Amino acid sequence: MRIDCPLCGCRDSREFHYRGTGKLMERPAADAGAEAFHDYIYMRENPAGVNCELWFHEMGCRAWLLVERDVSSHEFLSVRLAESVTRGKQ
Amino acid sequence: MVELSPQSPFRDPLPFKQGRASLTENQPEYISAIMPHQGQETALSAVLKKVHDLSLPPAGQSSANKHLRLLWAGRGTYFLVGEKPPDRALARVASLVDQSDGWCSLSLDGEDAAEVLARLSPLDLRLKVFKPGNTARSELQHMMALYLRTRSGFEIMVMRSFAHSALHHLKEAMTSVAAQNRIAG
Repeated sequence: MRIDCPLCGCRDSREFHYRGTGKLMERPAADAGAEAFHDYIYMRENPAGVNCELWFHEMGCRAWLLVERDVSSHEFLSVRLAESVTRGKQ
Repeated sequence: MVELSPQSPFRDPLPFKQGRASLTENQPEYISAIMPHQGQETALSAVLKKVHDLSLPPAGQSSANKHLRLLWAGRGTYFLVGEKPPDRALARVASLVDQSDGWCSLSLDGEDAAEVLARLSPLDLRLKVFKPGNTARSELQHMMALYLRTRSGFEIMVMRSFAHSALHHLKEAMTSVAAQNRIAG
């Protein structure tokens, strides 16, 4: 697999670490209740298709990336800086 | 004040030469990390121009003047390398951290430099992709490294605690490339 880091360009996947589902970007509000936090922490979809994931360019520029990856073909459909997504929301 | 004499981070003697590649130690006086505060990149660029006559390089690039070089060193991080520490005026728009004793630097030069490095790093080292003045964060045999392409080869920086391992792997790769080239004639 190769991942097209927005800062470094296309790099070998050995430079990156998988850091969990992209759902982790959508943290519930502090007063959302136990049910919402249970879902946020434990409940995961597991589709044999396109997944939204967080990757960390640990051996490279150390940016967090929000990617769309097809887990049945390992194709990366999009790669964005997680910070640009967060700041876009503010 | 007592002036302590600097010690090389490398235990083995340098320079080291094998075939058409040579390895030498660089001893920059200062290495400083400059990390712009959120949204302050433009302001940092202006202050840098004023106090150091350097421009803020985009990702994967560097800028230089006679005394200092500014290397892009990762997301939101720049390394100021050379004779001087960063001017205090930069502290208004960025965090400054002294890294002088935290990193070590080697120059790998010569015709076979790229071939040697290709054994240790997954980077695309072709000249049309990785040009003189370009920088890259990547790995060197599982160690996190900062690369700079120069006119004669590469500068490789790793954390000081990796100095001996980095030197070992580089020397091994240089020896192996030189041996294969000898056999091939």
